[in-house]
Amino acid sequence: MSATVMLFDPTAPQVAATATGSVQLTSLAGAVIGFIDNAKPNFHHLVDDLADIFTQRYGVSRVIKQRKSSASIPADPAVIAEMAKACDLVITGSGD
Amino acid sequence: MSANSLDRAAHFECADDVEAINRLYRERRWSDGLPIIPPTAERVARMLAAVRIPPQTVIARVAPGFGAATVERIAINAVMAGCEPAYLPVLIAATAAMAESSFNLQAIQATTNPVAVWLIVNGPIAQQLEINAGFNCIGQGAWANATLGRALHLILQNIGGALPGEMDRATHGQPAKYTFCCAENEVNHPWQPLHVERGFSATESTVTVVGAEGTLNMNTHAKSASELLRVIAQTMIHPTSNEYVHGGEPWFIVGTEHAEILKQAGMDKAQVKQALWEQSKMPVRDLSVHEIERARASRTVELGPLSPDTLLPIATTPDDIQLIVAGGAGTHSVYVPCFGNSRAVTRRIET
Amino acid sequence: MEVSKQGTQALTVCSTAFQTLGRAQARALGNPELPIAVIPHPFGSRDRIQVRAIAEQCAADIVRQCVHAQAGASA
Repeated sequence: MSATVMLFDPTAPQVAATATGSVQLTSLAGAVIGFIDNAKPNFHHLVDDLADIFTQRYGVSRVIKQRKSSASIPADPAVIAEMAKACDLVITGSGD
Repeated sequence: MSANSLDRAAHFECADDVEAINRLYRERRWSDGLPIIPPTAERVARMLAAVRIPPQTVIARVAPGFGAATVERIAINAVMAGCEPAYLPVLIAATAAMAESSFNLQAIQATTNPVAVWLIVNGPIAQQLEINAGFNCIGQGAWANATLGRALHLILQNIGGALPGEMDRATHGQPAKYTFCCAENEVNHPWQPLHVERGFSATESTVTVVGAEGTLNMNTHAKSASELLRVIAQTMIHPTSNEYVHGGEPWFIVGTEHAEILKQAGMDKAQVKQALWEQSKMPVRDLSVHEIERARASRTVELGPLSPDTLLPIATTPDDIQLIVAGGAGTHSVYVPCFGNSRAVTRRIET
Repeated sequence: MEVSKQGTQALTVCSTAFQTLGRAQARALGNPELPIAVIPHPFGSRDRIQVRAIAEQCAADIVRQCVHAQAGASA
């Protein structure tokens, strides 16, 4: 039998899952929906179309749109806090 | 499980066979594709003996997985890359530097851009560790350059969790993602070296991390400063650049012969930066329609409304252009276009 | 991610090429259940009519993932 050696794992565990406890929506009627546009090409058109569909067909009462200056910078924490407070659902864009 | 036990590196027993160990690290995607030095308990202990910081100390959480970069984990990756124990303080400082918010590591790691992290070492430690600042300084051949840059990218992949094709979304990547590290030539230098320009003393040792998109060699036999700066500025202009879209931080490795021309013309660093900034402005119309849209989203606050005739500077201010002097003899300098939404960070190396 | 930490329902829209990243990132940041609405890649080069068609599908996907209707209720 060959000798053994003790080796290290070079990776780090990713942070443990945390319960989000988000409020579950049962309907979009009367809801406020927020969009954080990541400034990637066409995303603002998608935001406009989704806002239109949700307002006209699902009875969403208000849409709030925020646009990041670039996809590769994080959204301003103050904007996130404000959106989380004002909206029932926040939709963000990620990647291309 | 306490946070503390999560910060202790996992270990396991394996047959003492270098091929089998490399097979295992390859299967688990713990390597960069090249063979590794097995991180045995003895080797890691020898690496850790180079610093006085407790092994479980968390230096940073590395995006995008936000794994804890303990001194021990940094040492494990350093062993795998082939580093000498004396290199460990450089990697600890570099890991801390990458975690600063202005560096924007999250975006650097997850982007489709081919960004690699370039390490620039300044101060006395560069000579002590024999980090090459001369001929072929960003090429092959110097153990410290090769293994330090490699270790940093193993840290990014293993501790940060940025596996190619998964959280690392680079469309092509670039060879510098294996390794990219050099020192600055502080001897044949017409100006203050980088770390002094950034507020450190000449006798301190520092490491600077840069989010580099690639390297472009500039060979010119120009003999006057004005001609040299003109052709370099012309080289900077390219409509597929992230830096013009966002207002970036382009870097230059000025060759010693080019540095001498600028010195003879009596130019200081600020004047060189100013000239490059002025002469590298690009008309908005040269960008594609989508890039104009991105530039508007990113730079309207800075520049006001962008018309097709607006001249876009590559960076918000001339001082955002960064210069180091390195390399051997020859009529070459290197343009290092960068990610755009990232600023280099310099940290003191504690030995 | 940051929104859902504050107790408000959140959803991310990403293209097929970024689905792996979105899922891995959500897991890494401690929210493996983050709803993700996937749109076809490449998205940025679509014309206005194509974007509208994608929005139709995306809206339905968002409703499916985020609205948990009580018995007898409609979205």
